[in-house]
Amino acid sequence: MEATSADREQWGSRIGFVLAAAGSAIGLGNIWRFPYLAGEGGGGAFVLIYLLCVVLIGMPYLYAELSLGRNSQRNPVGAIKSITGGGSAWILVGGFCVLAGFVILSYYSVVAGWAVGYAVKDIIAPTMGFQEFAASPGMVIALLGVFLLLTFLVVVGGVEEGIERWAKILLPILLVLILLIIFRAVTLDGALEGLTFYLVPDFSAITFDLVIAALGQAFFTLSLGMGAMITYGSYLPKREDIAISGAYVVVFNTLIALMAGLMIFPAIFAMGADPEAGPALVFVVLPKVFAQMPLGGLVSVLFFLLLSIAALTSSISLLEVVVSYFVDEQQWSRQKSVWLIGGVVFLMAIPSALSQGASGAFSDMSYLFGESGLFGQNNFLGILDYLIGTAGCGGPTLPPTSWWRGAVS
Amino acid sequence: MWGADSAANELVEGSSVMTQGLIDGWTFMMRYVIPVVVFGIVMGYVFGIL
Repeated sequence: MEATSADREQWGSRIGFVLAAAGSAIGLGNIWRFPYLAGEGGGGAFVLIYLLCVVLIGMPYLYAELSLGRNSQRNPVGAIKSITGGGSAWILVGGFCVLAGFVILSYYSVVAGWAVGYAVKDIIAPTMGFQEFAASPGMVIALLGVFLLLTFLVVVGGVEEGIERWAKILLPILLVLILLIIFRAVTLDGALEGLTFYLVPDFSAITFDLVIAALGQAFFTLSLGMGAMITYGSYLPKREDIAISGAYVVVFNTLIALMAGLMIFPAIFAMGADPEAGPALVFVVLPKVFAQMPLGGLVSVLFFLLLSIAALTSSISLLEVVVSYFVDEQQWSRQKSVWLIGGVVFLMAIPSALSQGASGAFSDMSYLFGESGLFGQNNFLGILDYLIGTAGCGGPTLPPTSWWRGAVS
Repeated sequence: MWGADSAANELVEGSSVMTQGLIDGWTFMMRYVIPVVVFGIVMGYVFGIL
């Protein structure tokens, strides 16, 4: 027997929902990709186009997902089943959402584990460069395990006592960390140049590709198209104003992305690093920048802590999409769903964790796909990321397609 | 079939007077603009433009 709507857990408050949904939307990509695109694309001009795309495309899409979730009170598969009456091929769309959540979590948690490791790097591996760090099997698997365990412990607590409660704790911490780092960054000598690069509009930098990038960022930054908002919407009570709550999610998500630029660019310019280092920025360039600045050690710890929190709030929603499917459709208990699915995710993540040099079999899969690799990728993590991020249902939602790839190549 | 109208009805529930005035606009976007954009993105990938 399926769980009825009356049994379904609900968010305890609007702020709880907004923080949980914003946490889902704010991921690794917000901290790096948005400021990078903005800096590259004419600063304020890009932000303007992005905001237009968010309001005209992102918000209605978000509302559509939240409405579908609340109307059906189901996970993505159940939601589509309920509106089509079952037996429709459209159910596959919901199935892809669940599958995408499962697969993305398996490699997203590896990258998130690196962030956790970098937050405590001075203790666990003070002298290691990134290549050596990512190729240390014991370390990356342990960090992966720690990150996934944190995710499981939050999700197993349920909607109100787990996800909502932790969102209310983690998001304010994230905000404070960003403000602290912004304060340090903008008070550095030479920070003004970075602020100018980031904020002063340059409409001549706007190109067709950049408009598409702004559209992509707006479309995917809100965790759209992967079932997270259908699932989160299914926990909304009928009395909740979806339009207002959704608008808060959009505003909060955009605000964090804008603030991320304020913390990154002044520091990069002040320290003379390359603002267009792009994908390599997070794990290669920024640690070098932090090492040069006064109080850099502390800033580095704070930055990677906030990156870990951003990743955690996103991984929670990824796991919740899968868990809600098994709870709704297979009538598993939440505990059973979290630990069983979590165990499988952990096992599936190990090849990704070992694919950056720790294991030849997963790091160079040319023995299977030839020298040119599969879609140009030769390591396990890269192939999964390409399949899901570029070609698949999840879209470049999380690590917006392969942003980290340059960091490890 | 559940569609933009049903989503609009769901949006109206619990909404305030202020947001009700905007629901028609969002419904228009859901019904016409988003499908065109999604189709455009898919075709863009299929034909290698994106």
